[in-house]
Amino acid sequence: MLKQFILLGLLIGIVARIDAAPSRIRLIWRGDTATTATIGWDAGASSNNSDIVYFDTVDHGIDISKYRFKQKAQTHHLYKGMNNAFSRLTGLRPSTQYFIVIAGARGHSPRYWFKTSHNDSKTPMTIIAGGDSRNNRTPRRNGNLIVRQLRPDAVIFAGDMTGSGTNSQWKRWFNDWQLTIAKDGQLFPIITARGNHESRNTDLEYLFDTTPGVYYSTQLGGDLVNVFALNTESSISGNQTNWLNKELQKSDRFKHRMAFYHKPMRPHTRGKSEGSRQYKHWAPLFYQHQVRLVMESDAHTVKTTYPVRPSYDSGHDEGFIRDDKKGMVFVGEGCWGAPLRSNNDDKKWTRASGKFNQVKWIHVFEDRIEVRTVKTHNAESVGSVDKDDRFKAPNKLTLWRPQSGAVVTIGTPKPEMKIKIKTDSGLAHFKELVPVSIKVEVENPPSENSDVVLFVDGVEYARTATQPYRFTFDPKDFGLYELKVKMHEKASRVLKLSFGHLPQRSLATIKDGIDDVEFRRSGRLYTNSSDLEIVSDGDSSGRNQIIGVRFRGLSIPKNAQIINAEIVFTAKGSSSGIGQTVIEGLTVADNKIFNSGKSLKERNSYDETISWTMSSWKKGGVYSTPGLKPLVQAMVEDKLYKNNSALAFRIKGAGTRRAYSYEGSPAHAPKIIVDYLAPEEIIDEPNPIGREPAEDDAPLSQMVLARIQSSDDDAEMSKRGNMYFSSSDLELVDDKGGNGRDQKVGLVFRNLEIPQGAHIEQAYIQFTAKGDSDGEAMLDIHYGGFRDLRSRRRFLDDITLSAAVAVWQPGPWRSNGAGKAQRTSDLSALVTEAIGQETWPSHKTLSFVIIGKGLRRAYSFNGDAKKAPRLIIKFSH
Amino acid sequence: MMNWLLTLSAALIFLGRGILYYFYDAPVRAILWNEEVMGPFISFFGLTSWTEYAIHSSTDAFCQKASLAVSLLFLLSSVFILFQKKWHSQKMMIIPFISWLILTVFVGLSWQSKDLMAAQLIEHGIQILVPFLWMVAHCRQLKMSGQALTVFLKVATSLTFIGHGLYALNIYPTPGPFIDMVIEILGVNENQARFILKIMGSLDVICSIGIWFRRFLMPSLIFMIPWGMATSLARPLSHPQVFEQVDTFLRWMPELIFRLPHGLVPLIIWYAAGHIKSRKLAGNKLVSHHG
Repeated sequence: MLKQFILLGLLIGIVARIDAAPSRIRLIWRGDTATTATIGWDAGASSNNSDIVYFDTVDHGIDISKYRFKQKAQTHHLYKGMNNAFSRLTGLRPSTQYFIVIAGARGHSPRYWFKTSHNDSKTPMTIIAGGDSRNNRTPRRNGNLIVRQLRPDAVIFAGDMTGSGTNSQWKRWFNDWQLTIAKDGQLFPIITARGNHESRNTDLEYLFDTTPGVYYSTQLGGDLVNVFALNTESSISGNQTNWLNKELQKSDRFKHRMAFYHKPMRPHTRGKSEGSRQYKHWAPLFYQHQVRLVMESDAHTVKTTYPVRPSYDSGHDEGFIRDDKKGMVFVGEGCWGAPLRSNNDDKKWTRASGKFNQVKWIHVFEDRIEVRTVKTHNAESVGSVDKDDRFKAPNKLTLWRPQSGAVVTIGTPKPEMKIKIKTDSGLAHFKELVPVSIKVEVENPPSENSDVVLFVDGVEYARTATQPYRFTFDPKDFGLYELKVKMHEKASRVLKLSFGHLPQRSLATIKDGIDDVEFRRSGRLYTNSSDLEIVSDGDSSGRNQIIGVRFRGLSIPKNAQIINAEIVFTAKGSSSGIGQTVIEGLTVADNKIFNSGKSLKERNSYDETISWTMSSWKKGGVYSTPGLKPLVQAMVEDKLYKNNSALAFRIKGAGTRRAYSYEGSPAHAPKIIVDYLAPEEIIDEPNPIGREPAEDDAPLSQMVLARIQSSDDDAEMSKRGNMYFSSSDLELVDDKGGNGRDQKVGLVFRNLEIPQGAHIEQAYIQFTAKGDSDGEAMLDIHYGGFRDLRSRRRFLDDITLSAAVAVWQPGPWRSNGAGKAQRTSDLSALVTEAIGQETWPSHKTLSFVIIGKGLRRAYSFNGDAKKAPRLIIKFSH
Repeated sequence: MMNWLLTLSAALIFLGRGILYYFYDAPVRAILWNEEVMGPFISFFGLTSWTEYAIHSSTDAFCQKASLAVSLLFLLSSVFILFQKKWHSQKMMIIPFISWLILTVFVGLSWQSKDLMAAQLIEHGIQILVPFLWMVAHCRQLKMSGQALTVFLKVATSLTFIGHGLYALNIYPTPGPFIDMVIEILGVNENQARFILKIMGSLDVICSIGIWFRRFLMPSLIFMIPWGMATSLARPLSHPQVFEQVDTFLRWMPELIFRLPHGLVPLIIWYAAGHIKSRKLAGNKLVSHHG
């Protein structure tokens, strides 16, 4: 009982502490947002107004003693059932991250952070705008979640936060506003206007620290944009318009001017009266001073307009005439959460209207403003924007796409800035660890002295503002590096450099039912079947049908050297018997979506085809086609091919194997795997495939790559004969913590498209180090001669090791190394022995056994499929 | 005369609002979009979630139809009030009674949406009490003396003028349109407009009290009758295009119509005061169901 009392006491204590801690946080912007910001919070009725905002440019978590700056609240308002405290921070640095904790005698807030506005009009910004959250809480919270996911520079909220402004409604509103806070604690600043459901100006002044009249301007991005918050609930004809006039006259230096207020001039629903006061006093000013974007609310409907100017001249509609050159665009009207009204009052100049819960997502560039309408119904499933590219729509963001287009662009875009990055040598693949000189070219830069920043694997490596822009990259280890150059937020370019032999892999799975289809002899196209019968369906009409598969989302560079390519199917049912098919690669010109253009049967394909004799399939089994390298090579060398072109194939023949289609199971839909060397990477390779033979007609060198493809194909066997297929690493060869010393490691590589009798120029296995491992190691690599490890309970005991052996003395390994140190000695002799055997063409599989002394720990397939051992063979024929 | 003016006032209230709600939304959404009011019904009947209800097209369509129905009911009420004498139908009294109930609910919700500001409630004194008093005066089962009626009309007038006065004095925030009307009509700046409003607001309050004292009754009414009319006229007059643009006409003429009683009701009190004084009929019925 005593324990229960203690627990209850603790619980009450915790609850009391939570209650006392600063809550209902809001970050508020007005005026100069590069150097000032206001933090607002509910300090609690009994806080004694002792709360202090601790802030710093360095994150000290909740250790307030380490924060260098602090600011007490300058103002408290006991209003709407809250003790609204406001701490106005001044003297801040532009474009700087500030970490804050609000603490007082009775508790502290979590650690939050915010970023001041930059003061460079060349750097774009994002804004979310809306209004009318009112009393429909679910969509209101959805709108708030969208803020969190889109991480805007600012949020514009044009009034009618609650239904009737009671204490409980306002508390709930601020509780819901906390949903806008990013998971990493980032606060997004709000700029507010008054709506008709805020009965007094003090609702805004005491809750959001606005000016008493609730009309004010806010400067974002230095001279990028001046935002005017206006008040339709107060006098319009008097001081407010005088103030607006003067402010607009001083605003010429800004690239853009925007205004927002609650009640629209021309609502797009019939039941609302026209905003004649706003029209009379503000519309001419907006037009005169080129306020190009005007955000309105109140009507609970959705609209975007074409640019218009106020005029009752011939052709006007309700006092506006379209003027694409100098007109203002109206967007709105509310819908952050309020119940919806019909959009039943379109004008001649209405661009689009609708009726759904939404916010506007505004991108402000130096030369233009882009407005998108975001539907908020699915906010919970929307992904988060990339912090480094907040202009790119995150996963599952639903944009409104009316016939007039999803993006409203205001202003004339300047020629797009383009960045090019390349190495001086033109190479992107280097066998040795050498410093690489990099040149960056920028077309249409925003200014002559802008910084170009080089990131290596996401970390800033160097920056320069001196033209010509040049960097030297000095790699520390073999491997693949992603170099990204950026100039401003939206312009960036990536260059991948590799050191050592590192072919790349691109995968794609069918992601739409229209991309895996069955084409019946009758000419009918089935796009929504739950399986793909390769190639005969049960009924007569489906006999010998043609299967089409089309893969999108690959990013294989044009003219890449294809090392290997295969399509992987998952069996939906067991089937056997005849299974003789031919796979054709559709030409790039004819690889359009299957339900458009020519029928699947009539489409052109490349000359080369691949025969596929299908084995028996068991339900759930995974089955790969033979290597499709010639087909994919032809595609990437097609003059119409672009780096993101789809790859489409047609399968014909006889027999039945049932594979999952996209509709049957997206997770088991057909998949393509392509290993390749990017064109830059093969420049330093002699006579790469696909090039014309050299003048002396020397044989072409070709390369194949095979990776361990399942856990069945890499295994360890202890001295006692126990087999391990599921280990996440391969200990070469001492496993002190597991199997003990002197274990044996077996590897099987499949689908090696090497002609019998080919001349093997080079062959090696590339491991990736799992953790550091060093010390003396002496390893012998034998050709195994077997093709299946699973069938051998004691695989090394019942085989005869090859006479040929490759001796390998690896140096020290560092974690995740995948360079020369992790590369075996040359295995050409072993491979030559293997492919010389008569049975080679029928299986095209190579197995190796590694024995010896010492320890090097490598990733197995189970550890990380992408880092599993790879076999690379260069040959000529 | 007094009966006719009372009838006219009651009819104008419903006529103006009926026309307004025919073209623009009646505040039915204050009820139908009010989660506190509608939420329990929706939950009780298990119709759908509040969220679904609030965004559903049918809800908006229903709101529009309800608004139209209210409009037609109000128009019918105004016609009935004007011609009730001819119809001699007491059963039909249900029409203005339902209209009055709806109007009262609208005023209550408007009061709630304005943060329960007292001025918002009491400024509707004439709008609410005049139709009610008309019904009482014309209901055969009820008896009301002329003196009692005058008292109630004075209550209605005082409430409305005090409500307006409190807004004009900025004791409750002066609505923007008040200031803008003064600026537009008189061509003054905002500070001058606010000053004028304070003077007029003070007179509103003083006269609202004055009508309760015999000595100040007539001087107060001399101010209230034209001022009540003027504030009604100010709605269309502050929109110069009211006779040029259909939208503006349809929006502001009804406002003039249903506010005219703000001048007519003090006029009724004027007549009543004169009637009582001249004929010493205090205690007799001023109006009866027979007129």
